[in-house]
Amino acid sequence: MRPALVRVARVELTRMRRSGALAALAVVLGGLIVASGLVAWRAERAYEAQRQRYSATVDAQWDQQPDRHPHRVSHYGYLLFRPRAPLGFFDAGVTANTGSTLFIEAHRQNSMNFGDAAHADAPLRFGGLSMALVLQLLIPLVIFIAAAGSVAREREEGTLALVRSLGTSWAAWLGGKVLALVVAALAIVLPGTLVVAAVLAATRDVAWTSDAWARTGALALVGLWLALWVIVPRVVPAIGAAADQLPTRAAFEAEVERRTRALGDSHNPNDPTFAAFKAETLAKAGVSRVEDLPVNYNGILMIEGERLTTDAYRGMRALLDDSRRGHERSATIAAAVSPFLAMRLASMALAGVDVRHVDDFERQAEDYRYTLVQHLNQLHAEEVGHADDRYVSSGGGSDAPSRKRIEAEHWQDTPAFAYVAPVFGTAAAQAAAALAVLGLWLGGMTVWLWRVRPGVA
Amino acid sequence: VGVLLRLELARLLRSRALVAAGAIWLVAAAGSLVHGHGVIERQRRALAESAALQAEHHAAILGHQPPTAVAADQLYYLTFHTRHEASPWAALSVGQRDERSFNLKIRMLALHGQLYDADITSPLLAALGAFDFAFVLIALAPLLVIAVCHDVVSSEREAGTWPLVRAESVSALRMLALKLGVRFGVVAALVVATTAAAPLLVGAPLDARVVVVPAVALAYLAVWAMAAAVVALAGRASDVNALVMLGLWVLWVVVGPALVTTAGAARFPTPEALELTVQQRHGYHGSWDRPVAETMAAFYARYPQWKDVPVATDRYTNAWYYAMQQRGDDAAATAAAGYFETLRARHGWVSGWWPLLPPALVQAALDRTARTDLPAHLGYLESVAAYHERIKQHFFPIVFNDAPISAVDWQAAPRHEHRDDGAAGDLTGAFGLLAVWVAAATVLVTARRATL
Repeated sequence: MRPALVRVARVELTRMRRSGALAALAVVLGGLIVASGLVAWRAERAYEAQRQRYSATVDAQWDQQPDRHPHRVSHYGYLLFRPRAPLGFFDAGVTANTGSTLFIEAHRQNSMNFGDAAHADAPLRFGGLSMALVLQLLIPLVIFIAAAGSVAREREEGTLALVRSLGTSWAAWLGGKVLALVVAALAIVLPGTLVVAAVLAATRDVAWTSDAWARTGALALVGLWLALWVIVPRVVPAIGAAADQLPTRAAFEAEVERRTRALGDSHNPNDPTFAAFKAETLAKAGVSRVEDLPVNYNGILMIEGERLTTDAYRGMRALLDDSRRGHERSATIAAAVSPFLAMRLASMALAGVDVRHVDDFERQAEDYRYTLVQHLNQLHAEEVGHADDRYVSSGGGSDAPSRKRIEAEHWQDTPAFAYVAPVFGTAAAQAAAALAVLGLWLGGMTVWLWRVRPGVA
Repeated sequence: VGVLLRLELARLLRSRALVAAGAIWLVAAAGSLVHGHGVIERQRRALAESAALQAEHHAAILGHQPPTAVAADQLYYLTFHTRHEASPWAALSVGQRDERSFNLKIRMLALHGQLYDADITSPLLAALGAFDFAFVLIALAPLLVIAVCHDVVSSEREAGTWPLVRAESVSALRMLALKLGVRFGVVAALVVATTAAAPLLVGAPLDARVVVVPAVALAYLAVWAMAAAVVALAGRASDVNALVMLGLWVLWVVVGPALVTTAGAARFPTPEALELTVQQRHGYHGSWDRPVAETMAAFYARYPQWKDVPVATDRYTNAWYYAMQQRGDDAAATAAAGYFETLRARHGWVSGWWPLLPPALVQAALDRTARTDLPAHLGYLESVAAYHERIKQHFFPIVFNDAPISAVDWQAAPRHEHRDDGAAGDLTGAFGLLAVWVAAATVLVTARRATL
């Protein structure tokens, strides 16, 4: 049986080689893969060079700050630039749809800004040019068309009956076709090939009876590609998202403010939480006035305030992440119907360009922000005396009124932000669900093909 | 001839594949309307709520303050909502409105630290590609035309009936036109009817666009039908024709626009985005270490009307604080202007290619008339910048006079609104270019009719 399968595949491959149109398409698509890969790689390198240049500027500016009041420094903050994933040139994933620049400072969790899509020229509904686009979207279309043409020819030339009469089994015939397509399109486009195999089998009844089947077959395949590659990947996740609405930033921040006020309202001089905090701080130190505390109460208050606002933010952020996980789930459900989507999700996860990687960057940046700001608040509490914590004329060179400035060495040794990408295993685990869906397609198709095989004539 | 045409029509309408394709089209169109409407309604609701959010925020900041509190101290915290209202056509052609800010909140601080804030979006859904009616029209409708028109001549050849048809008294060109007309007519009727109904379904007002948009859709589909006629000239087999037409679809719909925007991004890089961010931050914060007089002098260069109000130099004052914020914006001004300039230049360059790519041309025209394109967004950002200026001008007296909050009528603060509904005229350019395509193809087919 195996030699028969290989024989069918070889004949098929020879035919494909001789088909001019397909060869031309293969050249075009091959060129497109190479070109898009190179262009994207160049763009990623240019972005990285720019990112490193500005990161170096920001690092230098941080270190070159003069002596400053610590709270000044925590508002000076830090500019973080999101690095690109090493495989970003292969699959852009959600990179264009998320920001690249994050300003971190005290009291506030800012948005990541300057995403490419925010200032893009045209809505590219199929995504920018990338190798993933060609491999996952276009090549399956070519496979579909090649498959339809191949079966049509067998019917028209009457070779199928001949091949069958020579004892080639259904499995060998179909397997040979599939093998040829797989070889032709490389193993990367497995899902597309499987759908093709299914439709090849589905056309079994039609093929034997109807005259118009060849064109209908091609039409059905293009229709299928349209449905599973273009429509389902957009519609089903959108339905899921409608059920899991994201708040606007304005609504999100309003809710963070409400939660912060509930935890302790810094704008209310009589806020019970802050009153209790003050009483407790004084009691712990055994003094009756904040001026008598061993550390600067203003700094202590800053630490407590930052803790509360951050708690409120992180609670809301967790809800937001839940909604985004919900979007992922609906996409994964849609992937059960659309092998393209399954491939897309797996590819984005493995290339490190999915939403989870973005969330991971934001989480690390937020942790860094919190640690940095609390470190500066600690300096505020310990290095700035309560009596010095008010604006006085500084005279001298700067001639700017200031609260007490402390030496720049205090923050010069703070470690710069270094994003650590998740280990590959994490991404692989993310991709597992999508890959499992692909596995189910493979298994399901094979079983079905076996069941629908025609009996011996 | 009449018999042939009736036969053609009957054959077409009997085709189960066409009925299925028509059903898919209607479902996709309906889905896209539901989706687009949902996206825009969510934004409209958010904008409708934003006045209440601002009032709640202001009450929380000001509510507990004694009447003698310094108003300018509280001003630091106050955010003011801006609103980019959706045009009535935005639900049909969402563009990238779902990925851009439309409800920015600004404070009286440096503008360039706030203007580019991103809203909360779903990057995954955005990356998978939004599903608005404009997309369904530019990407899916041509596939219907291709499905029925790719074998307009080759099917007769393959059935062996073409010599018979040619033997009729009608010329081959006329026959092609009639057959193509019937096939194209059926699909066009469906698509144009859907396009005419779509704005009514999402509640767009009845202006000239209710007619112009379906006319653009018709002209767009005619380009595809004429492309099929040109392909038919080559006299190849049906499957080859289908392949060529699909190749054209991939080139025009998927690859071409991606190539052009990629080239545009490479040709017009925007390092100004990072530059303005770095400059703004440094310009503002650096002022904390510079003499007050220097900062105030920079401020007076822009706002000479405040020159004569004395500002203390030996202590913190709010006038000095807002003058420092202004220095942040001054430092970022060149890069920010360059950023807008580059984006507009790039948009112009990229748009220059769209006449060669009819799907992108139509999408750009629809996004333009729906005001969901890049210039519309930049227009909104500029209106926010102008509003920020009005807020500053409005509150400077309070800042310079150290007014207590009891002396301020907070309700009198300027309000922002930005609304631009577009007009039918936005579409005439695209319609004209599509007509040129159709005319060029007609001329070509007529000139080479001998090959039929």
